[in-house]
Amino acid sequence: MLRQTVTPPSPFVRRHDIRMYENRFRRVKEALPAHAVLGYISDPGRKAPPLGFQMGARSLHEAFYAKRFFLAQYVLLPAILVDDTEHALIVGNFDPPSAPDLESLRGLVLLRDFGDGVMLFTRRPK
Amino acid sequence: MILRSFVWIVLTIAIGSGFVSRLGVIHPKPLASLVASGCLAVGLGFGLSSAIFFLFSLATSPLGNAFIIGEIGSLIASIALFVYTLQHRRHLTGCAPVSPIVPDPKRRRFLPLVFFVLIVSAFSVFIGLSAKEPYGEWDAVFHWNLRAKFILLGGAHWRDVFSDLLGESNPDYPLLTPMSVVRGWRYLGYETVLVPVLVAMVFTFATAGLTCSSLAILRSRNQAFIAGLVLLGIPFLIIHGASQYADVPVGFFFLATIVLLCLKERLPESINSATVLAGTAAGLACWTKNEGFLFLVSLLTARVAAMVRSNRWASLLREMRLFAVGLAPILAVVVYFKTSIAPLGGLVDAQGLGTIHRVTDIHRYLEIFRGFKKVILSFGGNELVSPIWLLFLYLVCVGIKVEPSDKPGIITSATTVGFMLAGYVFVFLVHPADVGWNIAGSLDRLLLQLWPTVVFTYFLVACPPEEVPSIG
Repeated sequence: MLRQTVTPPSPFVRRHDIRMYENRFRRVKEALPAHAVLGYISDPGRKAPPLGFQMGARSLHEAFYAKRFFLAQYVLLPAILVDDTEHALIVGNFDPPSAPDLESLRGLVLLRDFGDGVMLFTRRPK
Repeated sequence: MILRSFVWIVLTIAIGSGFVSRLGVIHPKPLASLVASGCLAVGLGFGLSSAIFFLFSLATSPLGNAFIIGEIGSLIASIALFVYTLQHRRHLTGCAPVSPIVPDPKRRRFLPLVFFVLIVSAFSVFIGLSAKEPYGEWDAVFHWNLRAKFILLGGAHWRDVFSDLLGESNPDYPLLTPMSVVRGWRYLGYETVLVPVLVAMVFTFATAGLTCSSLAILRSRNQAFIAGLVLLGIPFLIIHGASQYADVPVGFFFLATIVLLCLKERLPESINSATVLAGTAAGLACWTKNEGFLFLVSLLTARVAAMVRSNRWASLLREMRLFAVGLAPILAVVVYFKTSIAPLGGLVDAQGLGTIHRVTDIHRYLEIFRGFKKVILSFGGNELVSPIWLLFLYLVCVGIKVEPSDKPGIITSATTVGFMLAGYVFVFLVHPADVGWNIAGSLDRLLLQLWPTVVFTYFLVACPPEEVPSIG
């Protein structure tokens, strides 16, 4: 039992994850209306199948996609994130060192890059 | 912050204490009686206050300070009950025959010492785990605490927490845990990880306290210590308790219901409070997790079977009436939440023609059987030996001794646990998710919910060490 205090029982969410996300998303949170319903985009190559009752054995990438989505949702509360790009404002959550996949951003206009992989998009007018 | 935390905790316990005080002091074991009442007061206090907080939150949107009216009202009701109990204490304390006291051999003083060391270790580990991961584990962060955070910060939109937009956070799940956390945050004035950590700690150690103290009342002090060693000797209870999931709180309410029904058998007929409180505890199990509904149905079926078996029809009707008195107010809140506020649960929503295919698929049965076998035999997380084997071996060594008055309670408990396990099998069968993944992710937690009740019932059946000739 004592070993559990030094060995994480779950690989999914750790304290430093939440602290890191709070820091990463602080500026975008300040720029958004508090109770907004926002779209969400991340690396689509890692997109998970719908969660909840469709959830089954996940690949590691899918699990990390879900983790990143939930962490973003947790720190952006009370705004609500929806995992699509059909909303007026879309939050981008990308791995900080890598540029977002441009193919996935088709139809979106970058409003602001908050740095550290956090971006705010809107839909390109048709 | 310390003062506000103190007010929050003390007020919560005070709300529960008035109701629990109706149990009276069970002679000749006043200390164990006091500990049992304290543990019940803590659990029922958190449960009742969360339900009242929810109702006042519904009445005022955005969340204002109107909940203070509910808190004061609950406190006044609790104090009134306490005063009434004090005025009639002669009626309450001149009763409660319990099993004959067997003097504890002096040489067995090491049991309290070992128990003390274990409880201090368990507490230290809990603090260590909570300091390391104060946000809890996955479900705690993204289901329970995410919902609590939304309710706190949601302002006039706080009811959106029950919308499909936050569907991944299971908006149909009952609200005891998140509402307890929000209530704590309101007392402290801000969102802090301290509150969910304290809620988790309270339920984890109240579970251990209630198991031991109730066995001290019903059996013997040494039996209680051994039960405590078995319960806390399972690392999973403390680890999972610190993870802030709702499995330990719901397990507490399962245990409280069974303990109260067993205590009721030792009290005179004129004392109704144990049965009423058992109803309240069962209702609070429904208010904690959906598994509470399965428990309620299993319990009622098992209880009817136990009473009919002993041909106690008159007692059964009276008991059901009293049980309903305690159950109805909480169940009304849960039913209102489920029917008017929460969306349809994912499990119900996911049923259709595929259900027939799943129920008739023999491979799913085999996979469930293999999953149960694997999880049960590795349950507890001590990575050495399953506690099931140790308990079996212990029973072979000490033998069985059942007090006649405990029989209905033991039958009720064992049958309830059996029905619950059958219910879990059924859920795994009809659940659309992959069976292996589903069992791997949830069965150990489901078994942990039942574990305190199983340990309590087991030690009601096992002969106390003082009465085993070769030991005593």
